[in-house]
Amino acid sequence: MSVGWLVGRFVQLLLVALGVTIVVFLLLKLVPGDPAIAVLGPHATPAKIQQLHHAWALDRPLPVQVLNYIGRLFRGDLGTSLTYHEPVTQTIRSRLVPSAWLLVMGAALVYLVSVPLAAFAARRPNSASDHAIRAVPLVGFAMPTVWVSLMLILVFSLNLGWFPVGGFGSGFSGHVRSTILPAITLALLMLPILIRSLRTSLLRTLEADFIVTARSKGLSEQQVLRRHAFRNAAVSSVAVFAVNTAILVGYIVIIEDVYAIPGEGALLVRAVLGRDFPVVQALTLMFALVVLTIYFLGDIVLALLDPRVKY
Amino acid sequence: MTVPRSVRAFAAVGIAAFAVVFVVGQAGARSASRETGAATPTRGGSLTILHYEPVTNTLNRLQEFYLGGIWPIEEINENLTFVDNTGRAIPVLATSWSVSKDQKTWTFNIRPGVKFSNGKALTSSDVVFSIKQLKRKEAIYGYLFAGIKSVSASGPLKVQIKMSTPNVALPAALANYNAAIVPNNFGGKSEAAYTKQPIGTGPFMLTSPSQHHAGSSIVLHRNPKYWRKGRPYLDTLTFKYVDNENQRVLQLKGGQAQLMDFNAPDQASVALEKGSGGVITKNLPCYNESYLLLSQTYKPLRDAHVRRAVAYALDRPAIVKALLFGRGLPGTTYLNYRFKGLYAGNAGLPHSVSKAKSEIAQSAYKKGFSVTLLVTSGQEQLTQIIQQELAGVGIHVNLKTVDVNALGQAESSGKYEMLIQPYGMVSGDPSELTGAIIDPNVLNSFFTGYKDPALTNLAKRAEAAYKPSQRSQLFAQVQRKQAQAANVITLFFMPQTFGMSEKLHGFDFGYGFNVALYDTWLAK
Repeated sequence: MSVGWLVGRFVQLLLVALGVTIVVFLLLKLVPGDPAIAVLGPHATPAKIQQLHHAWALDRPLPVQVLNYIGRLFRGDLGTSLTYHEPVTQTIRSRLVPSAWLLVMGAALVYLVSVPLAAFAARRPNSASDHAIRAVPLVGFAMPTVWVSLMLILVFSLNLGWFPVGGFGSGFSGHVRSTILPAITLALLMLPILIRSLRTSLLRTLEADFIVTARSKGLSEQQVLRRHAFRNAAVSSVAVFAVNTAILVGYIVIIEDVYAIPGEGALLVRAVLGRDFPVVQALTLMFALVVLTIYFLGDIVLALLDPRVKY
Repeated sequence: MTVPRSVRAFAAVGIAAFAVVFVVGQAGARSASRETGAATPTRGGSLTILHYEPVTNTLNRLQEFYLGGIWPIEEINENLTFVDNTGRAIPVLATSWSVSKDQKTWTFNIRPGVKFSNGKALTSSDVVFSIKQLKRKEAIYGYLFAGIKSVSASGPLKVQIKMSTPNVALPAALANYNAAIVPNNFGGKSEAAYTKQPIGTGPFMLTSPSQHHAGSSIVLHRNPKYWRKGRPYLDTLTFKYVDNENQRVLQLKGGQAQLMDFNAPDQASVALEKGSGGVITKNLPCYNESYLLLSQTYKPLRDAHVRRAVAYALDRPAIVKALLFGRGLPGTTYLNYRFKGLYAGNAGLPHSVSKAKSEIAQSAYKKGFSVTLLVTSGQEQLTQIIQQELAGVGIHVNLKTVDVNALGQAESSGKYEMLIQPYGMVSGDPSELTGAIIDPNVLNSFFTGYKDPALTNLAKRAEAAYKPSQRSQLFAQVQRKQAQAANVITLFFMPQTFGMSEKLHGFDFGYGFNVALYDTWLAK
């Protein structure tokens, strides 16, 4: 992996993010609705609306608005929220922790569950347990996310009282308790794909010549799996994991709404409804950067795991 | 058959993870366990309120318009008056008031011994400063105070307000949150700095700007300098914005919140009316209306016969039954039914298909016409009913779905044909509705563009009248004429519906959106 490749990839990442931001900027202009009315309320007078349009430079020609925006972006200025009247960076920063928490919890849960289950299934191909491990997670995957969330809330929050119904709680334990059910909901979406992908890779790897060699050297099954099979099987799963983690970022919008978690996803929904253009643009840029960074890291991990991959 | 150790290890990790989840969950369950309630007011506790509208973005009393924003402001800042749930303006920071014989000069006596949360005593200079602020163009409800000519201090605790025209509803209008009393010159701060952490005389205070997450939540603490002895009972108030109604109900049932508001009576609120799991629904009567707006920008709707045909064609009692499960009243005139002595319900146009057909026959659209009705989320059922009922008199309604922001834009620019506008009054002053719906200079006759100088003048005379009989008579005439004009058709009056914990006591809701939580307490 050369430094040149890393720099080139990073520049590519920034260009794609910028492209996404400009496209979203232009698309937002096509959306009906006026941010001034969203802020002033439906009973605002035309004069007040006009005044705000001028203050926010919304009365300038579109190309000027785009250039202004890009110029500010390069200066690290994401603008001021039209709704909250504070710098967008501040608005986003205050909601970063719940989303990051949720994403990490979801991804960790997926890893903790999918790896042992895939290994267990791969060791017994076509057995009843293998079929069950492949089939059962599909049920969760096939259910609508909102319905799954409601069922989890009904059982674990209202009936058993184990977890809060929604929100982000306070303090470390409060955050953990509040994000377990949303993380499970997220994990249910990813588990079938990852289990199947990892299982298939493991099966293919376990049939490879070097595994036969490893076994013939007298290594135990655990050593074969840990030292040889997993590393090789992980190569294809890393790409799947990266793609699916990026999809998780998209699902966060729904999950945060259902569980009333005050994170970036919920903020995005409100910003779109409120036509808070600077916030929508900044969040789009942020989500694009997160997704692209995950892909970028996936490429790096792939190169580290597989010596045949050369950049 | 032996299970490989690696698999057992992974299985162990999985089991351990589940165990952690279980233990954490159990610990939470124990802490969330419920205790039985007490019978007498209890000091202490935290009340969490979930709103369907964003919790205040800016804490700016002049510009806030969401219910979720008005409440925190009303707990931090008080007004001279409060309109109670019988419609009377009652004293708060004013102990009493009087008006001159010509009804043009009001004198308010300010309550002695009141302190702001920063310890500074309330004086007439604070009141004068606050009332003068109402003349600023930023004040959303500034038009309620358009008649104020001057305001001055006539003593350390006495304020005189001179009016250009009489307005007997001034004490009620002063209960509007735009008229909240703030320290003179914002306590020496800039306005921007003040709105970050407002100072008021209210029962609760914002101890740090970090306790306010714009649009999402705000935590207020008890104001130790509050003037009502022994109040407030609660230690803290937390307002949260949860737009998903299902989530609000679930959080209430799960004990995470003790009070929530419903957008309107619905299946969920009706199901909770008898109580379930320590939670109950209450429908509190207040000034909530739903209006059908008919824009003058669409030619057929400029015909008064057509507009009256629409009004006659709508079976509003049936709408209330189907849509609000009977928890409301059919719309009659534009003025809310709670304005006793002024409301003239019989002046409205009742449901009559034959009269609707007769009006259409007298119009220029005898063969009927098409009209587009904008629909936003939650209005689907209502708009379908309207579509069906108007089809019966030859009016073909096209339903066009738009989001709430696009609806607002269409409304304020007048680029629509018909739309539905829910409205919640924020004062006990009938001028609020009269100005909004009839006066083209206030809100362009509620964005319909309707102009009738004779009706506007009549409305102004009614607002200025101070003899009860004359006032009642004039308001009845205004309602009758507006009903005939039918630029705005009242569909129904609905209650403000709350879901609340059975542990919650002392919660009430004044006229308009006035709320005071100093008397509210939670049983342990």
